[in-house]
Amino acid sequence: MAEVHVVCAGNRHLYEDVLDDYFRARHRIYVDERRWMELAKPDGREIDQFDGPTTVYIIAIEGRRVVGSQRMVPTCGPTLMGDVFPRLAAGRGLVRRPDACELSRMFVVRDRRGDAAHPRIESLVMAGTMEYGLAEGIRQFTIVMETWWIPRFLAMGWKVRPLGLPIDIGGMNCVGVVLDVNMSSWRETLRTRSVAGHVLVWNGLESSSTASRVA
Amino acid sequence: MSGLNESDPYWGTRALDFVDAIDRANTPGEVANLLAKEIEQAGFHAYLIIGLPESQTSSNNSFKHRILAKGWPIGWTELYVKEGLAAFDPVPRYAAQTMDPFVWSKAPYDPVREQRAEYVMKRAIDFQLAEGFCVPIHTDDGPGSVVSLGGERPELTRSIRSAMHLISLYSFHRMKSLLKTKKLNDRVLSPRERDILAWIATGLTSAAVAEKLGLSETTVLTHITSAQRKLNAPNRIATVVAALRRGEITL
Repeated sequence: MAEVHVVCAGNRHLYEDVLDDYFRARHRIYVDERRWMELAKPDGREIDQFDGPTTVYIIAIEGRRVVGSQRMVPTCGPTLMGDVFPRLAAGRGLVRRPDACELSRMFVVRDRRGDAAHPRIESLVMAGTMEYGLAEGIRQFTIVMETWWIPRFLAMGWKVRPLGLPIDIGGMNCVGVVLDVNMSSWRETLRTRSVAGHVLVWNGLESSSTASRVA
Repeated sequence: MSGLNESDPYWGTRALDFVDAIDRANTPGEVANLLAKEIEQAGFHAYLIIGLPESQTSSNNSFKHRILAKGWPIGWTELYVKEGLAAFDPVPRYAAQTMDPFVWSKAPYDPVREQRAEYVMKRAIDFQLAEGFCVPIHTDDGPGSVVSLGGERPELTRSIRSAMHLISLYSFHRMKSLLKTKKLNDRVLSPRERDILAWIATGLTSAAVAEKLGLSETTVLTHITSAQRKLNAPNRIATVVAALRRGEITL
């Protein structure tokens, strides 16, 4: 089974090889596969303004190979919704609070999608993200995503609420949502996605931020 | 009222308020009423929430069983089933292939080679369903579902489409959750009775089930008799059939 690691400024020195593979995987998926050409980089590593010292990565790896991930940034700093697509929050207003994070760049590499793994890589990443939120005292996640994701999130117990009407972004039907981080959503994710329990590995982070580990 | 730009505050507010309100609906009927009332504001008078078929060729047989909620004009469903229109309807066919919502008239078909498809769209006009808006829903389990809204001349501005999109997604989810809860609450058999009937349904004898579950055959027979009584069934086969039909057990 894939392992799901928490990677952030505090332990990235243990993950330089993984992070290199991670940024290359992003380039393959978002530039080569999805053709978001404005993200193209000559060195084949897709890195943007939201990859900074406060960014946290939830990375699923098999061996040292990156197979899936999710990225988190604090909503008090620059965010995709707040700084690039604020219209997405036109109805309810932007979420900017110290205990809310924005999720982005959720992906699974092509050959490990769907039923290629049990539980699915996507399920491990989602469960790991909710687990991280609970462990770190995060109260809300915000997401800029394609609108067709809404029923999928609802089905796994993530009670996403739109912050505004869906709009067209580069030919994609997109929406800004917020959801609460709580135990019931986490348990529902485990139940509906056949994930046994805790999945996160906190290498090199024992002393700093794991005091409030999920019960 | 109809918005000229994407962030029309009127429809933005309406749609977001609807999302909050639908969460407080406690029965499938309440969800249906809220949905019907809301879409009326945009000129739709009909809705259908339905699962997509496994394949379009067999879609007519399963049509009625796939319906989650129906607010279709009187006579239209009957005609649709009688003439087997599900097999030719370009709307569900396109919904099976796309993640994003679309207006009915954008569902592609060849008007020359697919005259039955043309016929479906023309026939719908007789039921004041000249145009509509279809929201496909694809999760990972099975062929997906749609929420389809119809009317004579519905307003289809960008902001109304966005609002109808959200309204449809959340109505679908709420409806589905409530129907599921209802099904679970309506169950009358004990877990053990369901377990035993599920094995009987696969063709095992009561002796074989007893061995499989580590029970005595007398105990197994007692459970079957009890299930038979609860489901008001005349014999063992009828008990299994009733349990399947009620969703007490699945194959």
